[in-house]
This record gives sequence, structure tokens and C-alpha cells, in this order.
Amino acid sequence: MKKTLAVFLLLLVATMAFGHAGEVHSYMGTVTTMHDDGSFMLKKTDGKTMHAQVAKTTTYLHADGSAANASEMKVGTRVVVKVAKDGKTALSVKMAARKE
Amino acid sequence: MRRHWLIVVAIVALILIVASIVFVRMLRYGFSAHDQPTAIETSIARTVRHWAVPADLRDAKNPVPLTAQVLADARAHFADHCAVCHGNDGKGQSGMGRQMYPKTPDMTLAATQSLSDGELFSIIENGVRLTGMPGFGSGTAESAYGSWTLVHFIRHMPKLSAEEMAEMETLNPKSPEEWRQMQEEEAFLEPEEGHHH
Repeated sequence: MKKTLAVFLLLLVATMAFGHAGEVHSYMGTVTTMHDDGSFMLKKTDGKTMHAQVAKTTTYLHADGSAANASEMKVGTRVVVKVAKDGKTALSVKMAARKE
Repeated sequence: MRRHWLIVVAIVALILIVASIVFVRMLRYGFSAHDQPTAIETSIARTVRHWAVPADLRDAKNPVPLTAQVLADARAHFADHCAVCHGNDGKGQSGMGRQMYPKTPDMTLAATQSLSDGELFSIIENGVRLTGMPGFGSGTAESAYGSWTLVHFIRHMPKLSAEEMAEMETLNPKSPEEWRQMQEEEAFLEPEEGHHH
């Protein structure tokens, strides 16, 4: 009975914890480093830096909402990164147009 | 013969034990919307939902022709009225959807996509009892037209593009704080020539 209750409690706690996951956070900043795996370092507007990881599902957009390619992002590009769940992996990266 | 009776008694005893554990657990922890419905609950609910669809709608085809404009209007309608629970992509991963009981479904999956046009229409118009899905229909032709266009959009969900998602984000209802954040982000992403630190 104790084991059963322990399993139920574990499931309940896991469900509650999962219920709080998944909030989307948005970060504005300038790309300072591009890594070979596509991840990048970002200097946020509050002056702090963060490492944004990317996944196959990460979407890249221009500021006007049109589709962009990851290769368009360079050091110095201003971006808005939406990060979810794990607090690291970018769901979407919206980038400012660069004047040549 | 005696062996058959023993098997029957064992099955009944097992059912009683499981029912007792469930009952004791309910008394101890109560009910929570955080839980996931059991397979039995899901099966019963889907069967009853199927019965709830009026017979003349079960096999009905969408009478509204699919055009780019119809799809765009439905997408905007969905972003404004439905995405708060279903999420723009229809996967149910919204703050509201994840907390409901039952959770809002991932509408890109077969469980939803395999429903007929008429069943989807009926769910939008009449809602689903004992869930978070309200009946949005008003019995008017205008309401019916809107619901049929949403059926087109639900069919399109598995193929939703990043651009469509981005457009929908701008159409989602927002709190004053979210409006402020969106405007701040737009200003931040303005072309560099006009951007000053």
C-alpha cells in the first residue's frame, strides 16, 4: 500500500511539475558569437549574455514575419529569441534586417 | 467447471481491489485537473462525443469552398478566439490548454484529423460537455459559415508554416503588458539605419 501511495504521489508531483513547464520567454539582444552547431551567444538588452541553443524545429523569421534562413544570422544581428520549456532552446528567432 | 468459477472469482476480486485503490486514492487526494484522463475515460468520452453529433452532420462535407482568403480569415479568427486554449499551432500547448481536464488535444494528430468535417463543425458549434470546449454556435448562418471555415483551418494545421505562425502571434489577444513587449520588440528589430542605442 505504501509503495502504491508512493507511486501515486510521484505521479501527482510529476504532473504538477509538468504543469508549470512550457512558459515561453522572449529575449531581445545582439548576437555576439555564432557556433558551428547553430547555437549562438546573445548579449541581451539588460547587458547579460545567454547561450541560445537551436533545434531542427527552431524557426527563423525576418522582422516582417517572412521566413528567413539560419545562415542569415551573423555576429552583430539584433534578434528576438523565444525560448520555451528548457529555458535554452530557441523556438523562434526573429532577426532585424541588416543594412549593407 | 470449478476452475472456471475460480477464474471468475479471481477477476471479480481483482476488479474490486483496483476499484478500492482508486476509491481510497480519490478520498485521500480528491480530484485534480492536473491529472491525465485514464484510457477508459478517454474511450467513453470519445464515444459519447461521437453520439452527441447530430446524425445528419456525421458524414457532412464542408460546404464552404476552400480559398486562400477563406483560410486566411479562419486563421485570423482562430488566432483571436481559439488559440488562447488550443495554441496557434493547434497542439494545445497553451497556458490554459495544459491546465484543463481533459487537456486540449493536439489537433494535428489523427484523433482529430480523422474526424469528419461534420463532426468538427458540430464540436465547434455545440461544444463538448464536461470539457473546456464551449459551444460557439449561435444558430445563425453567419456562425455556421465561420465554423465551416474553421474546419478548413483545422485541416490545414499540420502544414502550418512559420510565417503563418508569426502572423497569428500578432493577432492573438494581448494584455497591456504583452502589447508593450510586442511594440518594444518591433522597435528593437527596426532596420539598423533607424536604430539608435
